[in-house]
Amino acid sequence: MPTEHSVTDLITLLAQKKVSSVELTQAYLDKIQNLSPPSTPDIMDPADKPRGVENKPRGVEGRQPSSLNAFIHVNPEASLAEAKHADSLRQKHLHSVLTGIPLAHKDIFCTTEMPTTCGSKMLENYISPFDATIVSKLKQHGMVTLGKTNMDEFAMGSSNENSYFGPALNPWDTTKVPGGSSGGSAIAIAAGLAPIATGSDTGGSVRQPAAFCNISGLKPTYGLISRFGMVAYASSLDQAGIMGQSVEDISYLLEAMAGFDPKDSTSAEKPIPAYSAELKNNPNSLKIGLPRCYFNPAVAPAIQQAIQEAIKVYEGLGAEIIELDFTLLDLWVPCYYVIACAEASSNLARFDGLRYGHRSQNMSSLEALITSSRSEGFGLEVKRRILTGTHVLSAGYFDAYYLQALKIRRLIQQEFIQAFKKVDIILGPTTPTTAFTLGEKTIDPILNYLADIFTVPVNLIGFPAISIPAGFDGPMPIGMQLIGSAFNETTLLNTAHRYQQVTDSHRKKPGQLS
Amino acid sequence: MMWDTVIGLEVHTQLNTQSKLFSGSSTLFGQPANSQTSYIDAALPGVLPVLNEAAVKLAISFGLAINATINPKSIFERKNYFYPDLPKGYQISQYKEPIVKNGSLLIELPDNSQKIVTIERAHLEEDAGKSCHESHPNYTGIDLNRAGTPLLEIVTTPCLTSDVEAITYLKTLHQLLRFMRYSDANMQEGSFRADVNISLKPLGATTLGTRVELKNLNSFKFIEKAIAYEVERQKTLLEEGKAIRQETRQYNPDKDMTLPLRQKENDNDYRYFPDPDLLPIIVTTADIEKIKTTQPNTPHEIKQKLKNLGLLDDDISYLLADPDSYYFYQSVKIQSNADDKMIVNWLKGAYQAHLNEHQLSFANPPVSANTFAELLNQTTLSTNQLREIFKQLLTSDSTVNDIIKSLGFNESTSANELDEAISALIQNNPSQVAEYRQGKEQLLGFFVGLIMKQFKGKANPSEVNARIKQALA
Amino acid sequence: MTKPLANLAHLMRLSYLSPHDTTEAQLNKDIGAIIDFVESLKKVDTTHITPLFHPFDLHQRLRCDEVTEQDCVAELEAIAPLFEDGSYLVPKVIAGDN
Repeated sequence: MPTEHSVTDLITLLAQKKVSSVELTQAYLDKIQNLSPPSTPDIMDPADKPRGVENKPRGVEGRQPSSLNAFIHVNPEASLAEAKHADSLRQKHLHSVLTGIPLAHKDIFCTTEMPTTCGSKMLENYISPFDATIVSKLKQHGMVTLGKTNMDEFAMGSSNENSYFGPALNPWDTTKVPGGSSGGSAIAIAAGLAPIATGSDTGGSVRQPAAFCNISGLKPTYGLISRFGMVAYASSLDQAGIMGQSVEDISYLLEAMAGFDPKDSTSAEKPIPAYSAELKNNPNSLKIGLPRCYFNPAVAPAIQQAIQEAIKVYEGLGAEIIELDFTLLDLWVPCYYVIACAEASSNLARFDGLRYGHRSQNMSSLEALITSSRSEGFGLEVKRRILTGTHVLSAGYFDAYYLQALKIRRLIQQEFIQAFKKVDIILGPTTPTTAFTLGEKTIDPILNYLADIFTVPVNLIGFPAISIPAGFDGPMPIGMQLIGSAFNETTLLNTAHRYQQVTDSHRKKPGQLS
Repeated sequence: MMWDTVIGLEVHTQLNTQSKLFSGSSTLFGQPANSQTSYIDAALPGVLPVLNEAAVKLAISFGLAINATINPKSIFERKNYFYPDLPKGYQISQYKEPIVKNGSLLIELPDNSQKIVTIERAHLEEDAGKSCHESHPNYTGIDLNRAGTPLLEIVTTPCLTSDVEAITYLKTLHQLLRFMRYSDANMQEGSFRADVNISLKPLGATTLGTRVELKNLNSFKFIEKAIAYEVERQKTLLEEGKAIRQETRQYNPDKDMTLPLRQKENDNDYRYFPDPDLLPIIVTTADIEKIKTTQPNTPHEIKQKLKNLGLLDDDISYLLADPDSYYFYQSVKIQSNADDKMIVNWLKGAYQAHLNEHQLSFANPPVSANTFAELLNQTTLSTNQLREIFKQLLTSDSTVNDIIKSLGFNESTSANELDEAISALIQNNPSQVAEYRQGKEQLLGFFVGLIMKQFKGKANPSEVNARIKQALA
Repeated sequence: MTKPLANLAHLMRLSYLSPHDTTEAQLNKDIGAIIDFVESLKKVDTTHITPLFHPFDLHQRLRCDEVTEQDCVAELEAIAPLFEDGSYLVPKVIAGDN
């Protein structure tokens, strides 16, 4: 089955001409149509879409209940054209290693061939006139875009239940959430709808769905991958991420995506190593840190057990395990939410219905138009976070909340910097529980926020982290998170890769799907 | 009751850069609507700002010109509010840490006294777009060409005490900005905008009164009138025992009064915070030293230089009225041997006359400084001859030498020819020669005239004058 | 017990939002809960700690002052809800109403 291969395999198969990009792309498109047909109409020609008219999707109500709902838009014609082009590049020997390999983009990345909705009614029909830097880069490598994946609206959420296009379903148990906000991309990998996918991670949005869906998900160091064309949620926390079947697969994409971009002032000017080649190098000594505070009653016993077993695997590989103390654990989540909401409240101010996006019919006054457009266009969680952010930045509250959170951010970073003087990698659970049931956490937003406890500090400090499969709690996957030091993706990927070389959790696929 | 007027001024000036502060769009004025609006300027989802190097350099240079402190680390902050001409829903500005602080500008008041105006800060920020309320019957049109243009906001302390001081400061600042090429500072085009903060306090009191902000003042004249009206308005209210409302007002030239601008009940809370898409601007001493090496002279320094050259006040005023005239003069001076007075006279006179007649300026000189210097270097020619050539230069593409040839001015009368003619003249006019020798010196002009007539003007009158004098000595 | 926000109306005005498909009471409750949740930050003594605005101590890179963008009115018009003769059209604004 062409859709069962890893990127690593596909590189060989394409090189050996055992499969063409067109065959591959068609196979994935068929599978998407079968298991996860989008509720939106296929894009034909963006120019045919009537402008300014409310284009209701066949939508949440019209969604086929059995659809995993991993994709918001597909454009089969465009994908096949890209595949054809990729095959011709390969024939002319003008290809690169990734040429012809299909991928899915989280719908937060601007693409010119199909809408960029960010999972929101606000951008339901928005077609960006430019591609995000990472989209261009991967196009230049000849990769083929299969479609745009479902996500929590404007990346705000940890379950993909906050999408205007309806919730997405965990392929391991379709009554459960896939995680968020990059839920769609996680499903796409887990269900074999794409060999690899992009995501974005502001507080865990790549790592947590990776853990819930039994795939690998990397959030690189802040600034390693360009943010130009990635719709901003919280600018000092956002990073593009990669979701795939293995660390090895991810390393190929990272090489292609990482690198300085002059269009992004926060982009790092660092040389990019050949991450995939460097996976072969094994460091002589490895010190793995284990925070004591991770083992608290909030973490499910099966998860605690899985981590202990992973420790044993690493000890078997010659690693030294060092216990760590973090004193500010309880502040990680509140600190993250104050900063993220503050930045988001400002980043989302551009959505006023005047230059693009959803525009209300209420034209009674300028104020009414903007207020209605925003209130109609944004979902509830987005509204909550904008209002919270506005509050913590407002006069009289700024010092006590926003500035205070930024000071605590420094304290948190200092603790991690101290820890990394003693260890190379910090290991622990990605999430306190496995995937929860749809609807379980929508009533109380705070419950959802607390589930991000292990992932948020990584964004606060800007360091890289990866979640990889580490076992099961019954039928549900468990993810383990490895955190590395800044710009040290090589050590991080190597450490994660070594685990995958001697274990097989990451090879398991959801049983009920063929 | 006697009152002190307290005025602080905020000037927004558009910096002379090719591209915008955070995007590579052009900053040219007067282009078709939205033809200079990039995706970044339109605040499309996913775009990011990158800072223009020239804007930073100009800001630092300005700081040096006003003897200010250049902040080694300054921060861009977001000023958050909603308005259609503000596409991001926030303006990128500087708040707590501006790039320039604590400078001063010396001004010379009309009564020849001097005052040092303290400039509290100058910071970089982006301009907003333009709203056009008249173009459509039912809608307001938004043009974002101007959105993102770099502005330098220059803020004084409330140290000005009268409309005269305020206007003098503004004109001095205006001249500085134009001479240093920081800005075109064109009030009509909106590249120099002044807001006035004005309050009154009882004479000699230390506590400041409630301050009113005056905006949308498009000329120095309007500023003067607005201040005058506002002082009276506040005086009347205070003397009636009424309070001054802290508000923003605009000047209405038709009614010659200030009127309140519409305002929401609650003041906007701008929720300033450092822009997370941008990093701190770091300026090192090495950066500053580098900028110092190419720092142009301030108008004050230029004035001193010109005085030292012996130019008269009138001439200096002429040159300092417009940087283009001054820089043209400088350019001619470098390439010509003519003395400063002669150059200035020519520029003030014949050249300016032509510019005025044809509504031109030294910004686009019809005769280049190069060519003009060449003209003035023709020392063997008379003023009239030079004027002839200049006329031709204005209307043709010919070179100075070509014109000289075509007018026959190169058939220069040789010294021998002159001396021969003078000898003949002395011989043929013995009685006038005798009268001259006895003291009737005005006859010299008569002799010069005869010689000039003989040579049909193709002689240098000062040379003829000198030679006759010598011959008759 | 969550304290309701005293200033929700003000926050909604500042952010140009209205409850729409929820109620003001519900929003008040939700945001009150979030603010309650982050109150714990206040207990930490952060005297002499400087805020960490960016993860890494970097400084702003400068871009060369050159015109790199071309006219893209057509692309802007294609995505605009109301656009005529090169301008975005919005409900009439009274001059000076800011």
